[in-house]
Amino acid sequence: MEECLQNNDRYLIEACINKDLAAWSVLVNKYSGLIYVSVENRLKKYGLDASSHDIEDIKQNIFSDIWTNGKLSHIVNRDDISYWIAILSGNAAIEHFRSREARLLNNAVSLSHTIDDKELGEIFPSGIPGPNDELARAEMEESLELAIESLPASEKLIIKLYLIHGKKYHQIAEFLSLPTSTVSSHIKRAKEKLKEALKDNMRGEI
Amino acid sequence: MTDLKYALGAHPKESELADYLSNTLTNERRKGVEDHIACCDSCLESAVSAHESVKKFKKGKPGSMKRINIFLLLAIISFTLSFIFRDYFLQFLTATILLGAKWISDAKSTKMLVMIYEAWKKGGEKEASRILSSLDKDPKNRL
Repeated sequence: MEECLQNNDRYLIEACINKDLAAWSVLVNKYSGLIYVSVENRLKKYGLDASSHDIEDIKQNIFSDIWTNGKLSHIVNRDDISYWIAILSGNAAIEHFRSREARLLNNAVSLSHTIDDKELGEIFPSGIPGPNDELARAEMEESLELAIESLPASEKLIIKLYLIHGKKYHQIAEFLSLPTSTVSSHIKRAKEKLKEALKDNMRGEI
Repeated sequence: MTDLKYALGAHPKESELADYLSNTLTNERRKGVEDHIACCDSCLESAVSAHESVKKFKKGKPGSMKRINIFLLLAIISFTLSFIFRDYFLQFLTATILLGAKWISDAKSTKMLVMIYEAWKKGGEKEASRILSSLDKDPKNRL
């Protein structure tokens, strides 16, 4: 039975819903590490380094929230709750720091820090400003953001994963549950569209 | 834009985003979530982070328990030493107690009990009796 509990969450979750303490301690053991990783990973994107004390606090809050509010009973897909736990943890981490680091959390992941210059050069037909020309870079960022927003939803999603989140083709394929070849052709097409949109944009400015 | 509810604001529930990542949604709901995360940067970021974290976690699973057991090991060693070096019996015994206390406070089951206690306080009598009745059954036998 132990093996059963370890591999598949379904029985474990049902036992936890019935407030079985032994099952609950298995669940806590199984997912504490994931919460740790998720909190750290999410905060890293905002340049925040959480102390282990903070992470411990967040972890306690998540578990007591799940237990006291009977959150597990709302879950339909009970075979694997790792993604659910990871999402809860990331969001709880943001909530936890929001009060203290409001200024930091207002600006989400910024474009220019994540896209490398080679990629930018490919998209901007007229070349890109040097790294020290902050004003020009901010302008470039803004026009790129506008161009991305003008894409249809599916291409917008793919190009955001590629440019902003810096994902590789195979990682995007995994995320979207699509074949890698489809992802690569979508990205190529979206890049062409971006180039086109940015060209028009430049002309408009002149 | 198949689902205006998503595109225009209402964030998908955490469980729905999770089902999206594990690819267990119907096509229609998938499309709804995709339309939303294409526009909503915070949900996209949340999903991307969760996807990365789960991958990272499943890759390097063993490890996190080690630090806690070190204290148990040290406590046992110091307890043994207290018998070998009779002259320092009390000193070693104190060390044993300190290390043991550290081990207990670090142990996950203790943290769990603290958590349950808090739930108990909030949940009132009914919750308390339910928790107590499940405590009566030996957890080891049930696993």
